[in-house]
Amino acid sequence: MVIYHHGPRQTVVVLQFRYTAIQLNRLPWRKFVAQPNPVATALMTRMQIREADRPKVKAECLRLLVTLKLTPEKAELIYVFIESYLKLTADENFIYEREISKLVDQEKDAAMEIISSIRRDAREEMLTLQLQHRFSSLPAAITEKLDKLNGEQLNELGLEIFNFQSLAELEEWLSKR
Amino acid sequence: MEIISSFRREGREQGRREGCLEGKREILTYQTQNRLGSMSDAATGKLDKLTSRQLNALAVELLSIQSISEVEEWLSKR
Repeated sequence: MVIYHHGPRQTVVVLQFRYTAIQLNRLPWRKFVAQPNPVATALMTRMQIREADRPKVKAECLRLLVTLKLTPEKAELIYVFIESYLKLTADENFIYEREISKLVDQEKDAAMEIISSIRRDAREEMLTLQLQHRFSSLPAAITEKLDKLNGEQLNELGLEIFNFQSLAELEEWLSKR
Repeated sequence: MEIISSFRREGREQGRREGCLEGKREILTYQTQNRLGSMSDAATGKLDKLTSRQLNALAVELLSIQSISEVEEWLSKR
């Protein structure tokens, strides 16, 4: 890229950049699977991917991410890129989760930890909204307990919500977790 | 550096939003499926496209909805 200034007597080059453009969507993602590079991992999501491979690529990105053993903060940063670049439909998401469940235990735990911290909070937000709607305001003691529930317990609560007849029943349920 | 850090910030926020939408859809789908059964592909497609605010509205609706067809009808209007 060159920026010229056309003066009255002569034309001067004001600025000149030389760079190689990399078109990510022309690169095959499989070439980067073996690279221990967090940036390549995030960018894989933008490479050439066959429609049917999308959930697999996302799972592979996540697997790579956990093998890099980054600090939790860095891992989350890379993961949010993966999330925003490779948005999956509900069906694809199902396959994605099945792929993750196939990972070896150690990798699976680390992977779930990254995913679930973000999604868990969103689920809690939904349930809090539903509980507020049912019982108007929630005492601080209850919201504190909600913060401590894990993903599985949040799912359970998601179904129990429809059975609670009073705030006291919710409190009792929470006290047993 | 300035550009990179603002790019990072935007990427992070967008990713968090996506993860957050995913989490919201997850619990709503879980509730719907376990109480009312599976919804049609068309309804699932609609669900994928809801904004965060619409998902909040659906969460409240679900408290009074009694059948899967009501969920599908609600989604078909979005």
